Amino acid sequence: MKEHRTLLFILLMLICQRAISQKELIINGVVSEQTSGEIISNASVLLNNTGVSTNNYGHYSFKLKQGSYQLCVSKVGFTTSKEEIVLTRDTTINIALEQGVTLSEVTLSAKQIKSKGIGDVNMDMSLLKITPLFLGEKDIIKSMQFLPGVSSGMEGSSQLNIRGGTNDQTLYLMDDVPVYNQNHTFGFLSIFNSEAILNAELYKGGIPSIYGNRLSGVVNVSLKDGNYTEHHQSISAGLLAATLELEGPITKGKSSYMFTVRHSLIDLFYKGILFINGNLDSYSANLIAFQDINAKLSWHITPKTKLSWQLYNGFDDLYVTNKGYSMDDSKYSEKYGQGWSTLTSSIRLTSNLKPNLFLTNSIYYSNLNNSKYGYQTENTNSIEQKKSAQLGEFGLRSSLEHKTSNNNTLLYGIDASNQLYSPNRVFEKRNNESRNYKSDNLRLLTTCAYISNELKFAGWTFTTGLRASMFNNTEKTICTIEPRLKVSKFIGDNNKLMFAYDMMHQPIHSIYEMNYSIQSDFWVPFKENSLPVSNQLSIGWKNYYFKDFSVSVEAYYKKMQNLISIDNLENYLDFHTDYSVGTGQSKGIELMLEYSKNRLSTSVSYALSKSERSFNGYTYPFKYDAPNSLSSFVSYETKKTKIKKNTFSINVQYKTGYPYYIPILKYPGSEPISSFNPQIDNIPKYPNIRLKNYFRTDLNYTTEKKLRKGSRAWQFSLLNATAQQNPYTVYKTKNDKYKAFVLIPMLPSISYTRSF
Amino acid sequence: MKYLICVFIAVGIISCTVDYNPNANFLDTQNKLIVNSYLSPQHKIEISFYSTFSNNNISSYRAEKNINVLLKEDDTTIYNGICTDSILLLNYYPKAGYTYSITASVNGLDQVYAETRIPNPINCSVSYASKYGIINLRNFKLPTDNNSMWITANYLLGDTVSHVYYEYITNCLLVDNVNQSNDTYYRNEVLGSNYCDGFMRVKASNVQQLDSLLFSDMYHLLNKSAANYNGIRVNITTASSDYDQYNRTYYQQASTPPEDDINAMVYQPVHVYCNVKNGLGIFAGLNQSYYYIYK
Repeated sequence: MKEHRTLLFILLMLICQRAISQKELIINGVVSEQTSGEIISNASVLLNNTGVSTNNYGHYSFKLKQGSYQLCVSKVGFTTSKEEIVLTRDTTINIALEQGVTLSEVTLSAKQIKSKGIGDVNMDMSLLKITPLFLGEKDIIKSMQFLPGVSSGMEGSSQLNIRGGTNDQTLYLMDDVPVYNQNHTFGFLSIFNSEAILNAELYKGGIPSIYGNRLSGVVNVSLKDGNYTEHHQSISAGLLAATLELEGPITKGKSSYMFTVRHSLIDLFYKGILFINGNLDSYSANLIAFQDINAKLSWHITPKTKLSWQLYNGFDDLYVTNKGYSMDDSKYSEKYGQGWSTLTSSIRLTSNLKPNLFLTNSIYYSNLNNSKYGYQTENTNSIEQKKSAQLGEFGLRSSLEHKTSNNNTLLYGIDASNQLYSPNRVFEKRNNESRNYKSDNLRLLTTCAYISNELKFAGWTFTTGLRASMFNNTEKTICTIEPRLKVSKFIGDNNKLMFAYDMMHQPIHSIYEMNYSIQSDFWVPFKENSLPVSNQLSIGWKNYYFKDFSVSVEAYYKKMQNLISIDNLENYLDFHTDYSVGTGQSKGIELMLEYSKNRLSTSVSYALSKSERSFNGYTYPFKYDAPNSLSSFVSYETKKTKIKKNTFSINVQYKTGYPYYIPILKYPGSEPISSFNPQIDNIPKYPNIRLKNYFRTDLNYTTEKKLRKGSRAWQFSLLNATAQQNPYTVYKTKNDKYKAFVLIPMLPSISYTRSF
Repeated sequence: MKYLICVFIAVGIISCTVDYNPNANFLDTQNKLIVNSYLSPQHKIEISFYSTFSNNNISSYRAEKNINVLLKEDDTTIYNGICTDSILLLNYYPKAGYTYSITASVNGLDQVYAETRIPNPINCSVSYASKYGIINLRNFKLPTDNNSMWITANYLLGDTVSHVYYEYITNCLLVDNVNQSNDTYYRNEVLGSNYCDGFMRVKASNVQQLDSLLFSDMYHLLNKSAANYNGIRVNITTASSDYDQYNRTYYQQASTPPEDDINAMVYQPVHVYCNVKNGLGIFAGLNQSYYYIYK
């Protein structure tokens, strides 16, 4: 009996031990950059044969059995980290990667994990240092314009027209806060200051259910937190603007600050000259000014909880100013101009609630203000007049990422926002009497709930998502359901097949998207009974056979319905009349080849596409339809030592000319306007020609040198090195000849950056 | 637009304008019948006809005769026949509140059709302050339909309506931006410096908010002598939607000819509104009120 009990006890112990050893443990942590402490998103984390990517906050987690593993963490541009670990209990391992190693060190599996799938592009921020500049400004949006399926629209603009969609169908996010105008100086550069950007991601298709409210694409720009270990400063200057960047720890390793300010140079130079000459009290000038400020404070309250506050404030101002003395010696000053300003601010709390549970909460505010104004003072009399259009949005976001197993990740959350639109504000103040004229205030209340599940099984990855939204504009409520699906499958080790389906709705639109105008954005919420909707199917194939070379092909078909075409903007805004509802269709094939080895990096992209619109029974090409589009980028490090690096790069772009309108017929006009011009050029409602094919070659030379304290970099660029006469606008002269304006016949740029 | 000059100075220096061949096939462009007419209760019906043609790839137009015309007032036919001249002049005054339609055709060109409605007039009281030559419009009596208002003024020489005000300064912020600018360097302590080129337009939704509007001729405000005139005629035009859209888009096209590289950069093609189906031109209703001020 005694032996039976002993045997039973031993058996019980064995069973318990077996049970303990079978229990899954969780390993998680944050991947960050070694010097600054900034998080690294989309880094590949491998534990033996199991791999994941870090999320947007640098966080990863695994569920594994007790045992020994090799933990390998890598990302392009960073040293790969490898360490042996023994897992006996739930563990947190934070990894710090050192900057500066090439793609060849990244393993094949890591590359496979890195590729998030179809339609998703993670921008390599290091390329901004060697990409040709526009007037000396590094710009992430301009870099994105070279991707297949993405069009800048007019040359020199900061628009992203994605796969046959207009710029207002692209959602721009800055640290998860929507931004409604991404242009400075009418698009010559974007508001995204490259000195403040940590990373940037673009979705052309396969859009996760966390994003919505736009038909065609998403640009998500994440800002730096600031260096957690050391204080850094940098100053850079180009032909158009100068930037100052400050970052550093508030409490080392725990809290940090980041601050950048960028200001235009033309107005500063002019005012400096006036100051030196003592003419600040009496002058007349036509000037332009723009400025943007990025500020961020981050605080790791606990190792698992981080609180951050972000602010962006930017403005553009084009104005005429006069100061002086009247004939009766009374002092006067006046300023007339137009401009726009953007303000965004957010507070975000991220928390690792449990090793496999990650929570993000944020509240935000975003504001866009366009105005035309006049200020006039003479002695004690003053007149202030302003016509403006304003959009303000207040929102909340909460999302939970739940890693239920190594092969299954659940993401769900809610968004809510309240948008107030004042499209027609008129204000006047004469001395002390002010008056606000009546203006229609429009409102849009949006609430969304979304869920997304990523399941990996036998080489397949299924990402299914659903986004349910309710839009209320005080007159009506529209509810939408948007299914999303992404499927990928590895065929062997070297080939990946991908498929995606997205449905998207859009409750607001920008007015000036209707024409070629370069005026700033002006938004209104929906008033119609149905929202614009797009359905997009994408399939793709990616090959990793060669270590240093990858090729991918994507094909897509997008159908858009309930699109709006405005015939009379005033009547549309004031009375909701004079508009048409139609459809759009876009399809294409995109090819991307990338090669990088040692000092040479190159990429070639080609897109064959067709985009069109149908209104009132008439089908015509989309205004930025370019059936053939080819881009090629080559960079070569001509010199690389421990302290110096010189890089030469060349960028070539070719695309079919855009559809355009030119007058052919003319006819007599009637009074009163015929006194200005007696005849009318009949410019048709739909495009009747194509502009000449576009071709441009840009050259860039960057020289970087590490100094005793900090570093310096010179960047020299020459845009349109072959002086191709690409037409920007085409018009007819009074003697019936056609002329084209060429914006950039050849444009040299220079930029200098000094970091401390 | 002049505000943009300094934005693009650096770029404008190295940008350029070049000859351009659009490769458009002019011979394929179909010629069209043109109908031009304003209908108002203050004037007899007058309709002009033209047609387009191409000569050596240059488009032009000419007066067109022998047009089959059917003109209706609501459902009543007021003219049905062949107009042997290029101008149809009827001894008939249109009436406010009625809809007029025209169907016209000629050999070799598509039949055209247009219709428009004559709006009821906007009336107001007008007073004049001789200092700065300020005209004050107030006590607006607005009809129930939503229409825009166009304001012009002429000097009077004896009983003759003389030259029109070319430039206006107004205090009213409800006046449209389409022809406004603020860089004339002229200020007036009463009116401010809202300068309007050639006319003042108040769009339909702003007309509802109008309580008073002051304006003057800039020529007068600059103390240039206008001593020969003995009066002013103020013209208040109540515009139908056709008249309003046509003239506004016509002005936008007429005021942006690219005279130089800077203007060429901001040029954009403007389609001038046309309500003549299958043709070109304008067939628009309006209602005009005249106010006479004598010295």
